[in-house]
Amino acid sequence: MNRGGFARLLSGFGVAAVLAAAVATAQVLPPPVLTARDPSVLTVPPPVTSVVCPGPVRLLTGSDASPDLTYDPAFARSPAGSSSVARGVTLSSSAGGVAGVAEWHPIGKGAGTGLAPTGAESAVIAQSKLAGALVLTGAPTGQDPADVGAAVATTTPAGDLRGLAAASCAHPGTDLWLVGGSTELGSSARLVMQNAGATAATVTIEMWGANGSLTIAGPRDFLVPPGTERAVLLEGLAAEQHAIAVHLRSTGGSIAAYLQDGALRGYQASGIDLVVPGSAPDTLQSIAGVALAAPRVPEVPNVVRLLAPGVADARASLTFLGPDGAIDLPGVNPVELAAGVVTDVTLDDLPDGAYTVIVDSTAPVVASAMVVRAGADPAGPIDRAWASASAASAGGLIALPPGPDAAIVIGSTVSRSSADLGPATGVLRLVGSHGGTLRTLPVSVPVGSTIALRAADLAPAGGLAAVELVPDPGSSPVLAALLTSVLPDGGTAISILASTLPVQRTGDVTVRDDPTTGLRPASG
Amino acid sequence: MTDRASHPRSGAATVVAVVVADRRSAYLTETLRGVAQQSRMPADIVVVDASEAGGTHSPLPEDLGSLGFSFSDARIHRASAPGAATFGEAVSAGLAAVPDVSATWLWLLHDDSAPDPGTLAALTRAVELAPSVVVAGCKQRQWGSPDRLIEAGVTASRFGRRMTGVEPDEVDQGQHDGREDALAVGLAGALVRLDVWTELGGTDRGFGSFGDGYDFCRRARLAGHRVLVVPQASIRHAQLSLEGVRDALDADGTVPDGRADPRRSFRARRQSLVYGGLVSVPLPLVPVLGLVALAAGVARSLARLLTKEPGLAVAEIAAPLAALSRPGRIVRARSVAGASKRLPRRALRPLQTSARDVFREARDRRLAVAEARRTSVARSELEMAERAQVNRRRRSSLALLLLGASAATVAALGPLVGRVIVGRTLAGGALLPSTATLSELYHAVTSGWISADLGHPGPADPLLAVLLPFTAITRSVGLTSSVLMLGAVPLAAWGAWAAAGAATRSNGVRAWAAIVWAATPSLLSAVSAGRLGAVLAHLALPWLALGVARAAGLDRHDVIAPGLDVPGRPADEDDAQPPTAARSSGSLAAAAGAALALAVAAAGAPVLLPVLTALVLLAALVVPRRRARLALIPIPALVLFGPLIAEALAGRGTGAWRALLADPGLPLESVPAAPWHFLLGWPVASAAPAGLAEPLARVLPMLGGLVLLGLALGALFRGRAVARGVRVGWIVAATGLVTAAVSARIAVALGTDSVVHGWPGAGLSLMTGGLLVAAVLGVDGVQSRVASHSFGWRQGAGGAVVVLAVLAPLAVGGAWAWQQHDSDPSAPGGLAVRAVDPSVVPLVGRRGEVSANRQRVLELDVAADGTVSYRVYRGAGPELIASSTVVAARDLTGTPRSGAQSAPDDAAGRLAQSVAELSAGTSTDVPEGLGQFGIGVVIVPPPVDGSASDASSRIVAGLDATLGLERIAEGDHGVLWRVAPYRVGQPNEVVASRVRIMDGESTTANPAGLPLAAVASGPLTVDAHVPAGAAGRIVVLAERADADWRARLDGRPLRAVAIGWRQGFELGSQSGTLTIDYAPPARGPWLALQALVALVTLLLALPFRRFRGGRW
Repeated sequence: MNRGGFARLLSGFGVAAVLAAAVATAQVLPPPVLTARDPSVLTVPPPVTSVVCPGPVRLLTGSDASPDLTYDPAFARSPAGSSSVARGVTLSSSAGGVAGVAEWHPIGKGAGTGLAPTGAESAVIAQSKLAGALVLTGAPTGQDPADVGAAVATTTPAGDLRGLAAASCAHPGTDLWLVGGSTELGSSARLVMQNAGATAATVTIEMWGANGSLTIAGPRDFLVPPGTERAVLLEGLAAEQHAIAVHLRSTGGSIAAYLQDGALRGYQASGIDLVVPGSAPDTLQSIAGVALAAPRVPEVPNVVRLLAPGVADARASLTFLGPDGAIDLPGVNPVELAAGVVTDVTLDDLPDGAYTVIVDSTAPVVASAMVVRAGADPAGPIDRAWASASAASAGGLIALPPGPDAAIVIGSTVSRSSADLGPATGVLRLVGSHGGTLRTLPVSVPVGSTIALRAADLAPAGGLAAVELVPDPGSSPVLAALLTSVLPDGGTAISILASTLPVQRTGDVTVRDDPTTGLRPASG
Repeated sequence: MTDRASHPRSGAATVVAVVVADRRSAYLTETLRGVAQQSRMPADIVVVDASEAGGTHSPLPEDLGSLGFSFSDARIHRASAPGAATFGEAVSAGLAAVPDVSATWLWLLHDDSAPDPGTLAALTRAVELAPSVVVAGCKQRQWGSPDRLIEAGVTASRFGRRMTGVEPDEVDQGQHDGREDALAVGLAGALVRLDVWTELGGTDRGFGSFGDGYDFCRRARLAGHRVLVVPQASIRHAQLSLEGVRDALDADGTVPDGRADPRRSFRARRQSLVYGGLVSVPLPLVPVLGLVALAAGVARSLARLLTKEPGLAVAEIAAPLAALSRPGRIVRARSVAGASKRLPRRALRPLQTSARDVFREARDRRLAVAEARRTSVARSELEMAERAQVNRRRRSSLALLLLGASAATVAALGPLVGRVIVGRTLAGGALLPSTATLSELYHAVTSGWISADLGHPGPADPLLAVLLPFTAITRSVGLTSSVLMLGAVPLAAWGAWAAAGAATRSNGVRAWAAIVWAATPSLLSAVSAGRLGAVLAHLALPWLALGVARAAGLDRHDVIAPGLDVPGRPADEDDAQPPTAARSSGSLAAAAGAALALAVAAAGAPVLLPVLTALVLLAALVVPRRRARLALIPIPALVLFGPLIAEALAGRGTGAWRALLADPGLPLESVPAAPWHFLLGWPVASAAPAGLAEPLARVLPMLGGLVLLGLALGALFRGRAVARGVRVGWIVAATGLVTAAVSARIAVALGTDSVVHGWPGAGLSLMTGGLLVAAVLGVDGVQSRVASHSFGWRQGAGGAVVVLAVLAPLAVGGAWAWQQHDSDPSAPGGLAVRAVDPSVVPLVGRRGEVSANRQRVLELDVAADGTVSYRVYRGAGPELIASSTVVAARDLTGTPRSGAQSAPDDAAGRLAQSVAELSAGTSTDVPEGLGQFGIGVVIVPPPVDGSASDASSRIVAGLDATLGLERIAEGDHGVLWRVAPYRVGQPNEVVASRVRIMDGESTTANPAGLPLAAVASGPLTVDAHVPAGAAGRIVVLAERADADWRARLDGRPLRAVAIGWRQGFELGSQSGTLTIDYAPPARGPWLALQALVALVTLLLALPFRRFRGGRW
């Protein structure tokens, strides 16, 4: 080999070695460190909490503020002898804390009655002789939103609206399910939509009946200006429906809504109550406070109302957690639910007692229950009460309006994950009518059963204004309150209050300035 | 005229000959011999030594008698004029050396102008016959071929454009012997009346070596004298000054071969032309002429760049500047000329030439040159036919190749092609869509302000500057990026085909190289991931290689045997010959082209800038010639990156240097492949095409790299001819690999989910390029080598290698195309690019953006886990021209390798807080809370999948219920809200606006007070009338505060104040025209430099044939 060839060989090996060395170096170099990006977790100030209370019950004879209803002006707006009371409570979010400032004011009006910060754990204020709907707003304390609750109760001793109509005041929402009421002859369903917010809400009404989805007569959209309420008679939208369920969707603002369900049997009052929103469609629903008592009224049975509002038929199995454990209702279980058909399941075969109804369905359903109280004469005037369903059960707060006797009903439910029944344990905080905690007591509900605690037993001195159930971790009791009062005619009036869950701390919001925001596949 | 009447006339003229010489040369000897042989001898002969003392040249001989001839009875004088800058001064110095001048005539001779024996006799006869003649000139002939004319009298246009009326190399057949009166004559060999010489002060030294004779004759004419050309008197003139060889004579005093070039004296001639014009035109025209000369200088300079004469381009500008820089001399010359002037300028008209003649002569000369060139390169018919056939074969091969590459693109990305044709834009991966027009792109490139979200100071990405020329064609940035992405494979094939042509003339090998380059994994991965910059770099690299090779004259080209013996032309090109055969002198246009390609490659992948610069400088060291030219190649890229480099050095934010290594576009993290994958060309793990058996799916994508590596290895064993090129290729490959490995380990930006490291693909493109250079050089000529052997194992093995070599890259490309169809976009190698409608914001939302309020749009998108992604747009949506590596790098601190998220600045923090409160539904004052950012519209896109729809509907409901937001539209784009004006419904409501006037009553919540009015503004600048108002008003921009914002009210500067993160100015109570702009001081000089360099490089790169042979 000549010298040039040798040099070429050498340089060839040289450059190949350089490349090999480069590969080797790259192999030896530590790999890049992958550092994940921390999203910005930002603390935002908590919102002002508010609960919106129903107004007093109305005969359809007054000049309602709403333009949709025309009443006979010859009759008084409110039934004779009717009295409405309300009680609001503001609690500290944790034991030992200080309750925030809360304020009652009529819907749409700024000025109101304040609950002064007493420095106590809780403050309570009652209102009587209500003329209209009230809103209870609570200012946050530090980063904690106010934990406020309220309830109103209207007792009417006689007349078409005879009975007790009470409801807990609710946090406004945009997606409300009212399961209850009837538009057949002799019944009236007065839907009231309340907008306590600052922006106009457009509410779209969807209705279902026993024959499926109902065609609404007239427009389905109702504009509710800020600070107003608007009432609609559902018999005008879909008449002659024995059993209805209503879905309200609101855009532009959050609303509260309730349905005043009243009925007559001939000339006898057949009960009055307020249907309040229950939880959105879910495969697991629980209804607390279903308290059955003799005598039963054959024409107006105690029922559980079920609706699978989706497109899929559902098969729902009902479990009744009574005082002595879970029992089955023979003959009706499971219930086949055709999609869109409102189905009433009669509970009159159940023995007396307070029950918690568990609905376990193959498709999302909404549910509620109606219980009936008659006097000594089942053919005489009766009262009715609606209990709405909750999907996620975690105790909550119930304010008790002054007047009626109250019983606190706590049911153990199934856990969502295993669908197994479990015990429900928690701490019950009792708030006195002058504010401050009366006492706290641990409660334990046996597996698959429901307990009822009379307010008179809990607070023998009287003056129980509110209860709050804080469940132990891992347990999910449902809480309701049963209000009863004895009317002058000797009959019993009844109403069921749902619990209000405290507003979650909005606290931390995770935001990310992300240049790919507009590049998600959907935008293509 | 009394002078002339009283002039002593004594029958015969007495003559003193003055020979000016600055060194001893063969020409001087000849000239002196010519003088000695005159039929009529001058009475005195003065030889002036004008050489500078201490020069390196040979001195004049002391004893002229030693030259070997005698000057009969003439008196010989020697004079020395070492300081004489011009001929005229030397003559004057020579005259001073003659003790008693009795002569009446002066015979002027250059040292390179040899007179014929009868010259002086003819001249004296002419002046004796015509007493009014004061200058009599000779007919000048070429020194080497005395039968060819140089000039016989000179005329000129009114502005001094000199014309001889003699064609170049015109043969003297006595056709000009009828001339008598001339406007001017060349002073070499001219007889000048001594008293006139004295009266006119000799020649004007301002002219230097050129044009002085014309000027002298002109002044003589204006003084009322005649100037005559005497065709019977002739000299041979070597024109040493004109040819620029006066300083380059050989030791024996002759001109070296090939040195003579009139372009050497171009600058001096151009300068004297301008000077001549300035001293001769009427006074009012002097400034006009000066400006015209400067403007013409610039224009002519650009034209010189086009014709690839950069030296003359400098001279074209320097000459008028030099002429104008001595105003004192011009004034003096004009006064001297004025003193002797007796006739008006128009008296010269009959002797001057018209503009038409000038034009005609220039045209004739151009045609003559063109004809001469045509005849010199005339090809035989045989050669032309063969050349046509070679060209036909080459073109059809290229067409077939491009067709195949296009078909492969359609097969892989077919749906995208269709949707881009119907007007969609590509986006996804690292590719951002764009709706920007050319002018918006131009402003983004030049403004120095990055108009993204709340604005950032900083230079635009160089990539945007590179997109400018492409966008000038397509009119839309989105279309440009789409076309580049979709055309990447065919364009890569074309570039590689062209570049391979510099190494081999085999169509097959070139096509193979093109396929390998087009099917390089780094390109294909970049296309899939939407890495526009990396694609652009890959496309530019072959042109850089080709440009470097051709600039250095190392390229090969088809050489067709002429079929006839043509002396001086090579007969054939032997394949075994090195491509560095010293035949091509290299191309300046190719160097400029390489510079542009380097700039494009670096703009696409900034990490390549230092690497390519180093490699090109290395190449400049190893090439045999044209080193300076190669060394200049990185200049345009460096100038393009200048502002970015300055920014990185100045360092706003500790991560500023990362911008020099970051890939332009959306920061997109990739997991780099193992180093041995790198070696096979894969920047990321190659995903196996679905539906293939496991080992095959793994091996198939690796085949291309394996074959290339093998061939490049084989090339190391080829002979001396290609050895150097092969080794250069290997060095480039190693550099590329190291670049890839290093860049993959440097954190350059903050991505959506993590810190983003550099894309290794650009380095791997370089590595593949290097290996390909080696492989092509190694393969070239193997076929003929193998064919020369009888059939045997060589042919078999060769065939197998060919089949494998062709199939391997096709397999890689095929696997990629297969994979693009049904793969997860997020998987490595999956197709992340989609065809999208670039408008995220529907038209109804854009109304506020394009209005004079320049409102912005806030997009909120909620993930299933509740995380709110947000983005502020100034346009229709995510925007390519709003992306910036500088801004992305500011988000990082920490070590180069891992990087760490830096804390958001005040502006970003406040925006995030506002977004958090808005999405949580707890904002209290939306019009001002969003108004401070100029946000006028909020948009929530429809949820991407079902799991996020809950969160999305929750936020929609929340925004619906937010006071201050009014829902205006809902559709495919999502839900839109308008931000209500401040004080909505009241007479003095203020809509959201980029620029607003605030009352200046500072509070904690509103540091600039409350808004009073919106101010109309452009995308960046403001030029609006503001009404009078209360004192203490502040005008506030919803832009980040920066020291380089400038505001003026009726031309009066306003004091800048920072309102938190925002830029504000104290407006006060007065009304007036408010102008605001962003003016970083360094922007102007950088832009000017960039424009100049770009213009020069572009003009140099344009393939424009130059006209040789013209004198001017």
